Amino acid sequence: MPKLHRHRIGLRRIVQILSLFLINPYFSGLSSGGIYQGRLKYVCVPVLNCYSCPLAVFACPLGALQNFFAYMRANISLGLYQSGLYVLGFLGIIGAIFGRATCGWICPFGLLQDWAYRLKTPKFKVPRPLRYVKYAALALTIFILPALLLDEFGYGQVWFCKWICPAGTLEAGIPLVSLNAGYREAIGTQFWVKIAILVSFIIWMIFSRRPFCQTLCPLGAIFSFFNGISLLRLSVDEEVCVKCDNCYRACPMDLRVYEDANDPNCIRCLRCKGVCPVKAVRWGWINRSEEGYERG
Amino acid sequence: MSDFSPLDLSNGGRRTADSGRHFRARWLWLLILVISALALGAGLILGEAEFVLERAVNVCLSCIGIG
Repeated sequence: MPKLHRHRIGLRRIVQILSLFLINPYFSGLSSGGIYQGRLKYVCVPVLNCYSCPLAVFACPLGALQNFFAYMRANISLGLYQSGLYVLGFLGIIGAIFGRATCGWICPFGLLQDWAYRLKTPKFKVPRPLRYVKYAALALTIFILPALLLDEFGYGQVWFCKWICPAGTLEAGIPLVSLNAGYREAIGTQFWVKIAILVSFIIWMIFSRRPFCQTLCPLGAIFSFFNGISLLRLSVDEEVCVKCDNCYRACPMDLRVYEDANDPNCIRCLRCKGVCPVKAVRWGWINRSEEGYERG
Repeated sequence: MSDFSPLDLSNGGRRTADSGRHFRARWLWLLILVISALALGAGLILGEAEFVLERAVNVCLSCIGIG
């Protein structure tokens, strides 16, 4: 393994671990069985991190978005025209600058998947058609169902959080149910469905690379729209690339970087750059020289 | 350090796998950044940050799987 490769993985792992603790530093939540209620929760983080986690001090953008859409009808009837612009604008800024890099560098659930895959087991690729499921999950569970399926009072539900989100189950469900007898008494079918989804993904992530990121994460789906145009980007020198597929074997998203250096599924982890034997992969901000080539 | 920058003219104009998107990308990211910043500002004016705080400081029973 080239020295640079080890360096890159080490740096990314350090950033991932630091982010885990920066996003989740409220350790007194574990002793009290409650959650942080301070002003930092005005702010969303650009990753999947449940705001009901006893350790979390920031808001989850997906949870916030679903709430905006679930409360939209009721808020409009109260004269409050809130539609999630705050969260969408925040995600747009992050996406326009970094694309999907936050998935690769600071997402705690991504870190868990990276670690799980290191276990020595037979490995399987995630079927490519499943990559499109995350867009359906985004449209249905974040926007359409919360906004359209309303109760008699005009309120919708947070469908992704309620029935799917394995990060919420792991970070909030299991700790809070363990710490609070009242929550334990309320456990029912919904809780066990979420546990089953979490366990399924934990098993899957041992055998396949980042299966949740590849197939189901609505936040990854949002950021994937920005990969093709973001300021931070990768490029491959096609005259140098020998198509040895080292990048494909190293990529946590099962991509060949020479096919599309800024594929919507790329999480900009830079492993392809580290393993490239001819240094054909480059990363950086938008490159005027390449633009000049294209125009010339 | 990145391998290239907006001021980098050093690759000699060689073809890259990403070159087909660069002219578009060079301006689109800025346009989207500006639109997103405006959306963020509009959200702040509409009090959406307070709504996020209000939702995030209460335990989400749906997230836990019991509500």
